[in-house]
Amino acid sequence: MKMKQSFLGKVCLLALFVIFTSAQLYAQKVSGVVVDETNTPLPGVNVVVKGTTNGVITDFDGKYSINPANIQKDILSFSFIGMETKEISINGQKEINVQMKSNTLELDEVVAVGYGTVKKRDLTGSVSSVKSEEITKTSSSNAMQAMQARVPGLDIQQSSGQAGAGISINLRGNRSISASNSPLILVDGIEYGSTLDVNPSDIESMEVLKDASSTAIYGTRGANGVIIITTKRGKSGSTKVNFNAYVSSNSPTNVPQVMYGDKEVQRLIDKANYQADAASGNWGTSNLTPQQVLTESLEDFTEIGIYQDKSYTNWADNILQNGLTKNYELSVSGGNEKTTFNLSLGTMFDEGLMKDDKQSRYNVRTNLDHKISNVFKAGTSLMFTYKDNDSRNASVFSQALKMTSITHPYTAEGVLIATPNPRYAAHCNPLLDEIDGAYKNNVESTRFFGNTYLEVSPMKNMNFKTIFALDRSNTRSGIYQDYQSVSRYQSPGTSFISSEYENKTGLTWENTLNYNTNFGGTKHEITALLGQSMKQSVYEESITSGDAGREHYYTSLFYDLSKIASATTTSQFIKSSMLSYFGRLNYKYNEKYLLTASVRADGSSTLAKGHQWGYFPSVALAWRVNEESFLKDTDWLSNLKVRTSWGISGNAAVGAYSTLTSLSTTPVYYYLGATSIAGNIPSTLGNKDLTWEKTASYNFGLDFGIIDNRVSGTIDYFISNTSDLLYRKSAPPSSVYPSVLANIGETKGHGLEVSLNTLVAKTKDFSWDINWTYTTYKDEITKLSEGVTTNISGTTGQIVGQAVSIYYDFEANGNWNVGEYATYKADWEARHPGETIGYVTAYGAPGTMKIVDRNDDGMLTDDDKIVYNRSPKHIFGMNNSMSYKNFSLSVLVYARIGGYISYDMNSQLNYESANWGNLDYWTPTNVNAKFPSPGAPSTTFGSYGSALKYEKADYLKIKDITLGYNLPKSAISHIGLSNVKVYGSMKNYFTFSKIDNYDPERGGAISFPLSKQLVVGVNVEF
Amino acid sequence: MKKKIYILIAAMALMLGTPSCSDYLDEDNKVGATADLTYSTATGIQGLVSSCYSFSRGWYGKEAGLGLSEMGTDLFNYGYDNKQKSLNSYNLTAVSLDDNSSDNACLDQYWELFYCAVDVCNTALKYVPLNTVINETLRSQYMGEAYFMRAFYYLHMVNIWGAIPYNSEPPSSVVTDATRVPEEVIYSNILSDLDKSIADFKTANYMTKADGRASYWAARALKARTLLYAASWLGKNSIVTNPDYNGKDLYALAKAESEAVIGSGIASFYDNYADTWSMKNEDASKNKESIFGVTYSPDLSTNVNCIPYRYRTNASGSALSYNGLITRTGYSRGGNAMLLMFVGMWNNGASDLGNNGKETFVRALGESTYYITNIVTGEKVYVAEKYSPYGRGFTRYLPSVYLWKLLDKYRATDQRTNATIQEAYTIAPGLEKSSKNYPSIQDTAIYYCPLDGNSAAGKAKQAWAKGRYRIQFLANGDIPVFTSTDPATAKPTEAAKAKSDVYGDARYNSYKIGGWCSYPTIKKFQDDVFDPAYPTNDISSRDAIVLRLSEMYLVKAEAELGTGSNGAALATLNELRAKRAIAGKDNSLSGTVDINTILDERAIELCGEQQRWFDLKRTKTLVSRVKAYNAQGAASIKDIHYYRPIPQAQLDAVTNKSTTAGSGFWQNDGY
Repeated sequence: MKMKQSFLGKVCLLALFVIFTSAQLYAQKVSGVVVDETNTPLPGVNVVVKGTTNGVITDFDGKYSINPANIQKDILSFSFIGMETKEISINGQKEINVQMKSNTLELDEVVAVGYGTVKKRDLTGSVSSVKSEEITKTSSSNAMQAMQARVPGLDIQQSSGQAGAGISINLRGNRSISASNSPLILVDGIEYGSTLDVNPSDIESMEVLKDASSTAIYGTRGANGVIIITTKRGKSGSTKVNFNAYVSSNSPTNVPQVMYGDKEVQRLIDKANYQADAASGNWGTSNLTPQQVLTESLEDFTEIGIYQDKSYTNWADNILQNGLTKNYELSVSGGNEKTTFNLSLGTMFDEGLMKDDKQSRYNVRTNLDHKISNVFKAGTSLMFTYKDNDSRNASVFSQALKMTSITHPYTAEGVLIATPNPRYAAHCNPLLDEIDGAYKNNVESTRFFGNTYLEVSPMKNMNFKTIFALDRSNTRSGIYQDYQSVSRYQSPGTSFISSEYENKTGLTWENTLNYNTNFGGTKHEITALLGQSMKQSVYEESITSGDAGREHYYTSLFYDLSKIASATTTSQFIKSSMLSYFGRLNYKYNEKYLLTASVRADGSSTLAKGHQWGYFPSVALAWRVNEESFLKDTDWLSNLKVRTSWGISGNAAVGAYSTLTSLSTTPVYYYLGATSIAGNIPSTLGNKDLTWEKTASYNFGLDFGIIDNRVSGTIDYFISNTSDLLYRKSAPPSSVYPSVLANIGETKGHGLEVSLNTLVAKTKDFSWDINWTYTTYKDEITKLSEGVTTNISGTTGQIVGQAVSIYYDFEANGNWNVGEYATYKADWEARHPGETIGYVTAYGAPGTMKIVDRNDDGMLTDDDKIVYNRSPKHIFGMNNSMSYKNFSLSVLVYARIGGYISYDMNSQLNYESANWGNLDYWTPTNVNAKFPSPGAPSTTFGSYGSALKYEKADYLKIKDITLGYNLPKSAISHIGLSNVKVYGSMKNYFTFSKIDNYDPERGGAISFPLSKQLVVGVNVEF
Repeated sequence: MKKKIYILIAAMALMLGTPSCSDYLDEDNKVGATADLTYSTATGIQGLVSSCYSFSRGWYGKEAGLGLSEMGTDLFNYGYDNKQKSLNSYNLTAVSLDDNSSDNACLDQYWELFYCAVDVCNTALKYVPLNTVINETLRSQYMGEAYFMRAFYYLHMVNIWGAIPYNSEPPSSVVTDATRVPEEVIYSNILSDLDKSIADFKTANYMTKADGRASYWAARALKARTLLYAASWLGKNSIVTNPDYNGKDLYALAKAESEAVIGSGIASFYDNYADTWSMKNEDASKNKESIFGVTYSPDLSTNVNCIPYRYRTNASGSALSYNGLITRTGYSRGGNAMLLMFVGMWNNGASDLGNNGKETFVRALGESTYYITNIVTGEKVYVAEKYSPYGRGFTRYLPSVYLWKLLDKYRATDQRTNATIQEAYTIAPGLEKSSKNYPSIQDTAIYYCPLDGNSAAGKAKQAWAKGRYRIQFLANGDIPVFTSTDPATAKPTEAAKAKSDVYGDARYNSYKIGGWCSYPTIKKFQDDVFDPAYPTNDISSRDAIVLRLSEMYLVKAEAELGTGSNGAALATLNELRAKRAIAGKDNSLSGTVDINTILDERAIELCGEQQRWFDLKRTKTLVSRVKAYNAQGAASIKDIHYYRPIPQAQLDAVTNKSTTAGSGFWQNDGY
């Protein structure tokens, strides 16, 4: 029904347009030149007849020409980003030349908010903005990386150094337990997804909407914050060409180390000594030699021989290499008064740190805007992306880490030794995957992401926009693993082929109506927005995979599916749709008092009938204190604004079909009558009552600028409460389904964000400003399901009163020394007469882990575990920009303090036959070591080893140092260039942390190390 | 201009009118199937019924299922790399260890698995009658199968945990409290299911075991076992809830059922007992002695042998996996793991046999490991087929002194000794003399001798073996397997021998020659057929035979003992023993039969076949027998161990948890 009402409403609205079509009046022409403070012509300045949509843009020489309706009374408004807007009454003049002043405060800068833009001075919510200059200042394949350290409240981390690897983005802490905590990312108003493939130089601005008053207009998709990316559009005037290119040399950094050479030999000796001591009972007496321990051999070498000539093998060196990234972006923009365009082409070739770890990407983009008349404007944004990605198997890393260094990868003749570990034949050579064709994991994807809009301005101050967007992507993922590749060699010893095709289609149609008016002699200003949106997405996937026998398919790889002996095919189809209505009202009184109120209604197909609609209101107030008369004369204060807001936004985490009881899609087999019969068994119990997670949040903000804005900044404090959390609550397994999805949990969070701009120096030749950001937040689970305060699964889970993202595990406290456990046991028995101690078999053996039995009950249970909070306490960013004459230098420093990671290298203890991480282990003479003895029984480590993994993740990074040089205009202008900048960067070169040879930003993973990059680039403009 | 606007308005009106509001927000589910739709087809209902069996693969032929059914008994000790030592040392707790696979009884995951298995049976019992495309005969057969499997799972559950919640139909909503139904009621229900199964199979005239399904005779054999369990554990007249059995002598009924199965001809004995265990006869539907088994497909490279995923999901809703002790090779291949469980370090521990054993032994993994070069002749010897059956040294279990001696006792007359225990590792022909340390090596390389190394006979054996092969005595001597010959105190030796008493060198200086790594193996489950396409032997397609003809004789004998017919019991045992006798030898027993006679015979016939713990439990001999024959568990075993602990995960999730037995949801005593 709602649809039909809306439809009728729209028809009425459109009828109104007809009535209000404005007459075109003959008008006289005004022209002139706009220059900046140094009298350099300013291209691209917006020149608008105030109160109308009649406007032009200055050309390359700063010239403009406009036809005002009334050459006597009209006022011309000149605006340009970074400049103070200037208004001049025409008073009959035919030539008006203007000098514009730069505006360091950028209060008149326009920022994108949901379904529109506002001037920064009129913002009521918490919004951070990053402009194109910042984004292109440093080279990056993913523009989102430019936000790290620049936006308070935003936590961006990269964990893998693989080519094309993604990043994790989290805004204002965690709210959800089982749903995503990633913000909504929109490109030109349409949802894009978190892998941002847009050329960084195509981006005009990125806005981060943080508080609920800003995000509630996105309803169910707003709770994790919204990032709005606006791409560059053409400007009328002379045609501009931009060329950006860089080359980056990537080399491994902070690679976790395993034991190498003599150190590994010593570990084998210590292991044998331990076992001999354990047998004899005389600890510390066995003193074996390498000759006694290194007894193993293969056809091509003996261990002792390797020990003697030190021909050890460093496996990390064997599998890692330096990579090269090449990136080229070319854009052409321009246009005339009626039509503007921006075309671009980007290509990127990215190599990771291993052979065949690479990605190439091509982007083609067209942005076109055309003014049909004063009433109609139409335009389009079209982007096509093609990606081709080869990636390596992570098991190569685990294999390289496990592999002994007391071996050779090749025979003397240079033939690869397939199983080079003389102690364990099952460990195959990690270099097996580098044989041509032995391993291939190729993902080829294309994406069309485009929209077309039509704007109608039937009357003054009224604008209707309809936009239709199409997002279609196709991905083919092919995997071939030869039977002689790392993951197949040992077992099952057959080749494997898998080919997956998926396509996604997203259709969005949105209609918005904007109306703006003022009354009471411009004291009251009202802007209103009404909108409607329809969104549908369809996902289809089919995978064909299976075993291809003991045969090499080095050439046909995964392309020839007929080689699969018995293929398994699975497929998926997921369709969801959403229908939304929204509205917003902005009210401004006397330029001082600002009010924003919005509401959105969302209806979703993924919820059960009767539960499909949700409503998301918000309201915000702001007071521009410095506009008050009592502060007018306070010279040192250039800006002061206080803001407060409240709103509710949602998280659309309910997956399609999750309200239905369904069967498993993975077939279950059983062998009957000489065939394996496939069946589908129940898998989930549907829950008709599922609804959205809702976050209600308050935001209190302060914007200030002092001493001519030499120091300016923003402080925001927020409190948020999330309810109806989707949570897989535990049910007794005896009632069949041990986990059932329901809206039961609640979390809360609060935090403080500060950003500060300090202009340290500004002289004619030298300027230095520092942009500081600081974030702190805390989140907490306040409720799980009825009567349940903990839900632990393995080493993760939820506990009421604790942070949302935690590890819950035992506490390791060194190792048992000789005789120590017997004393402990006797003491315990004395404390607990008549009871027996119940630790695992072999617990307490010398040199094995000591686990803290917190409640002293003689058993190690969940009650003995402690919380390791994963979230950081403090995030600092410091972004220095210095310029001296034609030189510029920027230094980006980033620090993240607090939070634990589970560091995988700390579990690289392989009791049997494999190498260890370079860890400090217990021996009778090194009793304070953290890690257990290599000779000790492995049962305690097997059960409680994860307690050794937790490390404080504090780190400080000098993330980026870029030195740039602008070629003198005199040198380039005669060859037709307007600007040439060359630059060099060192990225990720300096990391300071407590963990040796590791970058904690990676969050504990050890498989694909991050790279440090040396970049050389050039930006050319003409 | 106006014209254009009208056109636009018309276009927009068209666009706005296109999506009809009533169905825009409807769900459109094309792939995620629903029960009503799927189970109304012939293929769908066939898949559902066959899925009822799939869960049994999580118990039969798997490490954790074997651990819970054979560990902590009188028959086996844990070896070096055993992953469930707590089951043998009886220090297991209720803690849900979930995916931990280093020392995990896996009771929490089995609790889940069995309830899921029952749910699939319940789903089948609900949807088979609703299916209209299959014929009446097939419908009866399917019902017979589903009733059989539900009874089968509950019989395991009630014996593991005692009183448990009983689900008789698929759930329609989450129940957060749970009721522990008394054991007698569970048994009554199991008997009722079996009777329905028998009736349905009869209606369908499904009397064959030809395709691996449960059948009329499988149901009657399981009923014989169930009656014996109920009689011995709960009492001979214990069943009251099921009116068909109220007050009846369960031993007498068990005897009648077993006699019926024996007389049915559904199974018969092999003349050569070892044939029962040949891989050539592994197919449970073809094996002559088999009545019912859990099947594995010969396809070891795809996922058709895997068990179902758990119903429990991770935070994002994906189904979790059962752990590696239950799945063996995860969800890529599954398979039977029994071939690994009893294997010691025959090759990888044989450091005394020259060049770390590589002069004589190698495990067949692929072409490069199919040959060994004789160090004397320099000849390349093909060894793959010879060594492939020896398998892979997982060192999980070794036979106890009690079992080894028991098998040794009847060596002269009973085929089962040689077909059950492997005491020697012989080398491939062509490798004679190919060992620096044993220059006179002929066919035998390692010999585990059931003698006392200090006895005169032992010393003579040792003198003969010198330079010929490694000899390890049951106890004493140079490198014993056990610390003592007394079954009550004997534990597998764990340490290396720094210096050999016999050779005076350090050839035994490795923990791998200690008894818990190096021991005689149980060879029933060896993959004795070499397959060049799958030489690694890390999983097997061997079916796990669950009900065998010989068990029916043992049920019958015990039932006869229970009804006071001692002589009949002896006759029945001797009937079986005659079938197992070495040709021309008198293998019969004499004297008075008691429960120990039965248990000894069960040990010889059924060791390793996943029944022993239940036999000791139901005959209430668990504590006394572990104290007498299993030194690894003797110190800790108590009466509380007749029940396993209810997993903590279940207790944490119920809303009616209580500390008083009989009210609310309580934990078994002592945990």
